Amino acid sequence: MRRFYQQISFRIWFPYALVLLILIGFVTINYPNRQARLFRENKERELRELAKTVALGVELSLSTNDFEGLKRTVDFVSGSNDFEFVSILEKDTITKKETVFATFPELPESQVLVRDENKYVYQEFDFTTSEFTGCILIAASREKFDALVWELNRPVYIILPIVFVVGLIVFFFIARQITRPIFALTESAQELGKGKYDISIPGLTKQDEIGELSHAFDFLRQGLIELRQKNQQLTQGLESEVELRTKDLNDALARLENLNKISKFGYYTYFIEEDRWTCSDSVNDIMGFTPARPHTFAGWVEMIVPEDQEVMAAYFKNLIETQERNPVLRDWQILRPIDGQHRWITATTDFVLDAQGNAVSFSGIIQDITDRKLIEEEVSRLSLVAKYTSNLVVITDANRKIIWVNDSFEKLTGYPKEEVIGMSPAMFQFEKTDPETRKYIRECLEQELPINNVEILNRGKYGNEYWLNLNIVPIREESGLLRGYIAVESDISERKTIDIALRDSELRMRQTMDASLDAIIIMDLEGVIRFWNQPATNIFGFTKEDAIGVRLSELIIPDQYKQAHERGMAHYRNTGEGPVLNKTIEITGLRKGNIEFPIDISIVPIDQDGVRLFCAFIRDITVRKQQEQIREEAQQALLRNEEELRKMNETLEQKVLENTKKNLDLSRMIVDQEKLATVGEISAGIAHDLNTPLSSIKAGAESVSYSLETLIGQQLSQADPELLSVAIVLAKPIVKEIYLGGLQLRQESQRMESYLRSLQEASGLSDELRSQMADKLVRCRIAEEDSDSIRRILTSRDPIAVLNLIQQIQTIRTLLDSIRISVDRASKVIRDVRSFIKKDVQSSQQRILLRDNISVVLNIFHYELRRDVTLDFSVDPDHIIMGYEVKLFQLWSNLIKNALDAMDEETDKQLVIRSEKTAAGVSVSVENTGPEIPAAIISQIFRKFFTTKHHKSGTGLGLSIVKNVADEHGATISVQSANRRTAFTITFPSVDA
Amino acid sequence: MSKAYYHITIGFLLLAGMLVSADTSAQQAWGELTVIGNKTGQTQLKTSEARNIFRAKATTWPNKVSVTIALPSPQANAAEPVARLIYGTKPASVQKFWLLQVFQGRATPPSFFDTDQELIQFVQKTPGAIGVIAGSTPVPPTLTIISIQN
Repeated sequence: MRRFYQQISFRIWFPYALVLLILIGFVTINYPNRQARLFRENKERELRELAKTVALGVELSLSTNDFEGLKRTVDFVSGSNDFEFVSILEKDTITKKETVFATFPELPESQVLVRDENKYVYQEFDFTTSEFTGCILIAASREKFDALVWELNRPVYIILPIVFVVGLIVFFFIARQITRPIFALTESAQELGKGKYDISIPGLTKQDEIGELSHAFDFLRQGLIELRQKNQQLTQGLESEVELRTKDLNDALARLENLNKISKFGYYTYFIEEDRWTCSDSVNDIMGFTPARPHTFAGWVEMIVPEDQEVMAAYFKNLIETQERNPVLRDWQILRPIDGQHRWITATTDFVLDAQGNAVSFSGIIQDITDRKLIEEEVSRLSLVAKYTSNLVVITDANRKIIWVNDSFEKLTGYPKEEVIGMSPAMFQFEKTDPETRKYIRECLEQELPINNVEILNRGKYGNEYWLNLNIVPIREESGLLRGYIAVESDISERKTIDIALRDSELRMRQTMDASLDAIIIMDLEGVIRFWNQPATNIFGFTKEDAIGVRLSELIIPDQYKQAHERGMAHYRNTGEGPVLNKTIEITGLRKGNIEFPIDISIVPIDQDGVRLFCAFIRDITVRKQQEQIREEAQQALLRNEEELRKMNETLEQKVLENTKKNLDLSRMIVDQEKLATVGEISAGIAHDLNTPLSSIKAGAESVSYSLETLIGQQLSQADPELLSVAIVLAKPIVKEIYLGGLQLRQESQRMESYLRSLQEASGLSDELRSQMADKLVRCRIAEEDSDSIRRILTSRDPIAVLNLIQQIQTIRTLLDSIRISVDRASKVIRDVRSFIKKDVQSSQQRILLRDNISVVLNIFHYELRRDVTLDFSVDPDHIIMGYEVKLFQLWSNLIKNALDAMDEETDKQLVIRSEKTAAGVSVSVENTGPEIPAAIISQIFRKFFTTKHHKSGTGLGLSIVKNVADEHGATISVQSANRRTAFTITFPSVDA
Repeated sequence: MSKAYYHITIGFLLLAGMLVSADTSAQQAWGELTVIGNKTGQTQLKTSEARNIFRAKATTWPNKVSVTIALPSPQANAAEPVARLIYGTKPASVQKFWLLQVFQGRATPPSFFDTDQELIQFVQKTPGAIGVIAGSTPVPPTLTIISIQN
């Protein structure tokens, strides 16, 4: 309901009413005031005229003695009711004092003389005669004045409110008249709004603005009628549509429920307050609920496998407490009550909140993921297989871009996953990769065909080449669409290398057999020659054609051995035994022209394609025999060396024992406990330091022995003296690198092979021989710069033999040098020990080089220091003091031993030894990072038998000895221990220049 | 006799003495004046009566005729003896006396004349009129001379 002041009639009426109110108010206030003012002015004027008249009458009566006029005047004045009294006041012309002469009507004088302006209105008029000076005072009542003014204004006060009220009413009706049509139209609009379109619009006959508005409303009404008709039609259409959609929706819901069952989906809702949950039928199917099972939280938890029940309860209680909207989902294994089956489910959770934001329930979806779990487990197992198999596994997409590789792949290729993801597997192929193989792989993949057992040479990140056996399988969706490829590759490098080596070996064997110094002859069980190599021709003078098919005994066996040979063959054929088989025997052979000469022959039975053959290795040992003497001498030299070494070792050990004994004696002389501890530690270090070079000496001696046997037994015996002399000349005294790595060897061999190709002297060599030469040159550490040496070798009669000799000689020399170095090292240890433990026979102080003196002690403690102590040894080599060398050893050894003991249980062990030249002399500080020495005991540590190492071997004499030695040298000693560092500083007196 | 009564008696005697003395002087003053009247019914008046009439204390004669007073103006010769004998004051004060009487409505105002003749004429024409003129002025026979007795 609209309030009155909100109505338009009020808004029209109110301004008029306001203006009228203002106007009436203005008139009501101003008009009576003006009337009163004019009235008072008029009355005062009248009073003044009366006073004047009286004065004139008095003046005239006194002047003319005509008191009759005065009487008439008085009568005239007294006839008026407008005044209260009139007085004649006489004024003293000198004192100006007024006195009342007469008053009409008579009044007390005081009432006249004292002017009461509140009560009266006064007017006076002066007059003067010869005998009288005074004035006429006339007074009118002010109350009467006001009464007269009220009487005068009373009509105004009555009429104006009436006018005001009438005006308001008139204006109100005018306003109502104006707004009535608007109200009528408003009601019409409301009716239209209610849907009553059959009403008649008022004011249609009016010609003013209201009439136009009424026509507009009528137009609107007609439009609404049309719209309603259209709306009705549309509604009917929508209802039909809704009906159809509802039916579709119901169908969809039914299908969804079916799908849920098929997909093993379902929804549930748990009402927290009621501890009750509901679920769809598909959830009942998944969970295997029995109807009797309580649909409570406890009932839910009981379905989880026992080991997860507490976890499940805690999980959902935590969810309810935290109201986490998107909790981390996890899978649960359930035990179906209906059939006892184990299944896996996953559940989502979302809360329903009340108006206060409290969770009232949560609901979500449950899915049976048992199948997925099984697949995941299978996949997990397969992943483990793929990941950890020694085979390389590569998975690509359909575009043959790598999307996954396993660890073995990374290990072999050298590429981490990140670098090969998105790349093509062809990136590992290179110029050596067989083009035919590459083509075959490409064609198969283009036709989406599997590839089985294809061998390919690839190259890894660091240039490493490797052979792979490829098995590639296309991965297809069920629709047949290609998803990618899985390649399982096995590293067959080793086998390929062996195959290649075998192939090369066969070739080389043939070449070697031909190039060998030994004659190789193969014969069958009948003694008929089946194979005859070139050296056999060289040695025996018969060509291959001469020999093949001829009985061995008839060709190269001297007469005195033929019978034995035949007997042996027959014996083998009968018994399978051959006393000379697999042995090297020295006999004589028969060269073409019936020349008999010494040979070594080794006969080995071999099977070739199931046929038993005999392979005879025959070597002309004519030269070897000639070198027998040299060999004997070399062996004698070797034996002498070994004897010397053995004696040296014995000497060293004896010296160690002696020195240890001396040291023990020395220590015992000081204090038994201290000596024993120091000797023990020194001995352990010495034993270790001596053991290392002795081991090297032993290993070197064994190697030398072996090399000499090889050199003498296999090479020198057959070597041409010329070749031997060349080898001796070119062999380097010491070769640091006698053993080369495979990669370095290959790279340098390739370079050397290239170099040999450029040499004219090597132009006649076959590729195989050149490769062999290059390999041997590299092994002998003969570089391209040694072109003279290389040319000399090439021009020799048998370069390979020369290089073999050089290699052996160099090896022996290098090993002997390493033995010498080890002996020097052991000697140094012995020397230091001797210095340390020797008796102090000095009778007077000598100039001592501080660094050398301390170094002897550090060498003694070398073993202990090397283990886990960081040593900072900063002692100036020029710092010299005067002292006793051996006693100083004792000083330093005690300080260092103390420092090592202090740091025994520390992880960060630092030993700092520094020297500094000061005004007082030379200071040496020995600092360690062991525990700090408590301030309370610092003053006691130099006392005899004071120790903090009761649980160890401390005797409490070490620092006492230090103090004594320092005193003996006139040195001062101080200790600083703070911030995990303890330093002993010994200041020796300056040495006079 | 009480002491209060004594004092009243003494006061009365003194007042009587004064009055006797006054009458004596009035007898003397009045000799200078002649009081005339017209149909006043009176030929003789006591001084006090005469004074009351001239001081407007009596407004009618015994014959019920209204008293009309005629007096010499201040400029007339008889003004001074009139003022002195009748009003006991100066001529100017006689005016103030009558001003007061008229202003307050106590009496009908007298008529003043500059000459005795004008006064006599007025009295002759005005019944009930009483006037006073100089003693030496002849009085027509139509007028009654009112003798003033002590």
